[in-house]
Amino acid sequence: MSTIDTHGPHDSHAAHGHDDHGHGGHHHEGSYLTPRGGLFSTIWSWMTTVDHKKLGVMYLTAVLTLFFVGGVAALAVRAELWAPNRAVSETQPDGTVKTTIKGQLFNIGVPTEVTKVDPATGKPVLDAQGNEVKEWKRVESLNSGNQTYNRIMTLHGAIMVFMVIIPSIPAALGNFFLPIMLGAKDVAFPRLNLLSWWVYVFGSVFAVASVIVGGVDTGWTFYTPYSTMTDAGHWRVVAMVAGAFILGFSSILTGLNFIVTVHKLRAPGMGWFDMPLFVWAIYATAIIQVLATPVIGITLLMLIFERLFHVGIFDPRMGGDPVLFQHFFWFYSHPVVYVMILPGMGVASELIAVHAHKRLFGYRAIAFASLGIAGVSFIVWGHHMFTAEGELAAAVFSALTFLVAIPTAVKVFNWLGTLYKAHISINTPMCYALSFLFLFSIGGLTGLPLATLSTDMHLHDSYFVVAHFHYVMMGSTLIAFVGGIHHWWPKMFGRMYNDTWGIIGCVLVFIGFNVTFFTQFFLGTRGMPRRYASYVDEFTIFHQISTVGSWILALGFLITLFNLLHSLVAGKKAPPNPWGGLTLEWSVESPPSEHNFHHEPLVTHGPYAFDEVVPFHRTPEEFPLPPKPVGGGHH
Amino acid sequence: MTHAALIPSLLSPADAVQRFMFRRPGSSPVTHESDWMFMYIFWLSTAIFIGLMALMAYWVLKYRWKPGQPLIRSRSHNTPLEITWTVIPTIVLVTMFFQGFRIYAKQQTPVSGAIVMQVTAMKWSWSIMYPNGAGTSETTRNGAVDIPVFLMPEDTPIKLEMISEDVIHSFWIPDFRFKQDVFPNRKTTYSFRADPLAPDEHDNPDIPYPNREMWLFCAEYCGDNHSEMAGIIRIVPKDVYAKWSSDPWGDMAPAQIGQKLWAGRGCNACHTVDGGANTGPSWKNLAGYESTYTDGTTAVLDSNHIRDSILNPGAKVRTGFTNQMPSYAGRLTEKEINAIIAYLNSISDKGQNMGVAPVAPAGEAMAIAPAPAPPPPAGDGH
Repeated sequence: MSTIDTHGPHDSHAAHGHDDHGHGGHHHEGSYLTPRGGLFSTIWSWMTTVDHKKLGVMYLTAVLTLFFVGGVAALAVRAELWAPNRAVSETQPDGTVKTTIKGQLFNIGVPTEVTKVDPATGKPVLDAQGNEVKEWKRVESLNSGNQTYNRIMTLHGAIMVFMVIIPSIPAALGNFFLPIMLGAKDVAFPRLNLLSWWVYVFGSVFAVASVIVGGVDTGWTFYTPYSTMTDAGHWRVVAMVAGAFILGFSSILTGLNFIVTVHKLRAPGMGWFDMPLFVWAIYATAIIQVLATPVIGITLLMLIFERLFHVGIFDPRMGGDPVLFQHFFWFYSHPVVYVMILPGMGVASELIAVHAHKRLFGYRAIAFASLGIAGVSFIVWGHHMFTAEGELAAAVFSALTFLVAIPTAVKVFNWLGTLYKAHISINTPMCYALSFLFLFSIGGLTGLPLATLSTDMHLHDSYFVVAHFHYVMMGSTLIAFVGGIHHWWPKMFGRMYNDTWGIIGCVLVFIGFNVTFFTQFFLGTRGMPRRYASYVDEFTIFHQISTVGSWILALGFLITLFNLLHSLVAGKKAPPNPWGGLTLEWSVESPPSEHNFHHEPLVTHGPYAFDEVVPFHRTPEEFPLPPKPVGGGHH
Repeated sequence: MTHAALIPSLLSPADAVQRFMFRRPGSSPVTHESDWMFMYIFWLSTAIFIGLMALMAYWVLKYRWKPGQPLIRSRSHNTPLEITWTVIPTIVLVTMFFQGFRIYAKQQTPVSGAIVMQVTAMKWSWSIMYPNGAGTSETTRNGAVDIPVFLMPEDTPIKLEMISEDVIHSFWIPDFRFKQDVFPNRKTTYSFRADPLAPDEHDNPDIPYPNREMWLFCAEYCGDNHSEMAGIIRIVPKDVYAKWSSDPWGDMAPAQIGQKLWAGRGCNACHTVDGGANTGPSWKNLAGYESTYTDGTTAVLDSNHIRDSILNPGAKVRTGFTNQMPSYAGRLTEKEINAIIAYLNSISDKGQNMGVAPVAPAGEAMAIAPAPAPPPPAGDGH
């Protein structure tokens, strides 16, 4: 796996005192964050930068901002579900009975033409001909309240899937760390990377515009024929779908860039099996992005054509089939589930290896499992449609779906095996890694009754599914993302956050998450369908527990956010290698200089060869810099 | 096997968990198998999960590391172990697939000689046409809307043939642990045989004969009132069903039948009867009044016009509305259409006297009075 560096870590450590390229040393270039020129030229330099680190930070900012928006929508959804809708009839003073709908927290009403009433007399206003005058008013009704819920629910789903989870780890952390971990100065196509960013911004603007003009109520899956019929004549659905379409291009370009970078820009001495597992995971993800995203592009384009020009591909009245849309949609959107989870697995591998200071158990098995999952992900889309497709198709897709479970289980066993006889630091990143293992195990195991045909007939489209995919998407991917942010924060911004508050935030997020979503498994098995603005009374207590959980979760995230932001102004200065990691990003300054490396690095050991390289008798701040530069530092 | 036979205090812990999980036991023979399958996966997963987490917790506590402690070298892979933990899950998963498929095949196979009923889904209501051409005459209040109650005989094979008038819906009766999507372009089927009723089984205590009431939900997102698209499936003794299906309306007055149809056939999803706003025009003070239409014409809503609007809703659309209503041609008998005309007239100031006293004054219309108790079953011995 590795060549032996004759100079060894001890030499390196001994030498670091006079090696000003080393940790903590102030280099005359400054870091990538050092402003160049005045305020406006600094802003302009960020907007037009081709530096993968700046782009990573910009993605991080955008993703976290949209995560906040999507999170507020989620809190609104949970708040609305505090109580079910009910009609209450009250006798008015004048003897008439008035019926009002209770239990709807948000109700923006629908524009309706009503008779204009003179407020003074309470009589209808008449025009010159004696006809009643009509006016348009927003009228609140049962439907409009439910519609408001459906729009918030769609907003939450679409933002979280297309604008937060998909770009979160690959675009933010991947952009920043993939080149550094490979020992490269930048990605293979830096200008293309800048284009990806602006395409992402452009696509998000479309999606946000659809919300500003009133919102979309299709759910993030845009199923036909509902999506081609709802609010006929309005541009909102088209804007949202166009946004998703444009975001797809950003995804493809980023994926392409990463594939070429991994193939072509690895540092001397770094073979395929010397790559960190984070890089393997991003590589597998990029392959899926490049191969699957064009399908959603075509599908969404067909949907736009269907809506605007009624071409009839999905319209049964014109010989089309609405289920065809589901096939097209899931042919992309199932692989994209792994675009969401594989990077999370990659981050988890880094967190566990580095903070347990041990070689990852079964490195090759994890790497191949990533590729295996990526491959199988293309042939299981039909398991989203067990209740919509024929029996034979259902049987085939069920069998294939069980295939995914095998590499997934292998990964969990390997992460766990890594903890055996390890050297575990209990800190914020490790806290997130352990949360990930806990939540991902639940997310994975609850996939079993969904893959099993007979039990999925009951659980399909119920809250069981909602709970399951939140355990995978949020409990695993976003927890890994936040864990990754804590892991690499000192490297990205050169500041240490408060570890105690970090752990408090992590524990609150963990508790809040489980209170919110574990409850929903029981809602599902007891018969609660998903995407309901209201529900029958017997589910009330479960919904209220879940809503309280969402507040704990929000509190945890707020503490985490303040802790991180606080570190930027008041945090201790970060050493180059605070955790004792051996991958290349820990060998450069915190934050890195503009070109990452002052000399092309030479990789002399595997990414997790702690037992070979590191003398474990020192405090983390004293860890030597692992790789020896090829140039000046290399004798 | 039957519901009431299981007394909660006598449940074993495993049965208590199952009861908590599903709220009620399954209600047809195949549900007992699919519930067994679910609990098998549940207990297996629980055991695996607890095992993994116990190991994780133990190792994290045992191998905590403080800077300064020396490093122990340990293995970073172990081929026999890795093969073992790949092969054993594979065997378990293959077994799981075949068990699941076996039970799924049973769920999907219709019983021969089943009573065939026609289900129509539309935004946002279910209707079922029985073999005699009638629909249901009973509704009940659920939250903010009235939902239909569908009578089904116990221990009798039933096959539902389902189609949608508009978008995709999904027919889900949680107590049957089964759902099937309903499409606008082809029929799908839903087969079941409800477990026999126990003599003391009275989910609805107001009904003199044994009965079991189950929820029917729409499980595929279909728009505004997706969450209100529910129904009650009431399993009744065979003789009660036979008597009801021979004469579903009894001697009810036309306007009263019309009110039941409004609540039971989905009219209430879009039309209020108290003047309130909704997707379609309110029925309050509609009959006998003049309306303006999107094509610029005006007309007085008489009996013929109401009938036309039911059978061909898109022909004349009132200003301020877009037509979302499917045609009811073939789904309402002329007697039922007459009943709806009578109901509209009974709640309009300018309505004609259709020969019966007006029902449902303004405001109370949404709170439907409880349906008259169905006749006690002939020959029921309790």
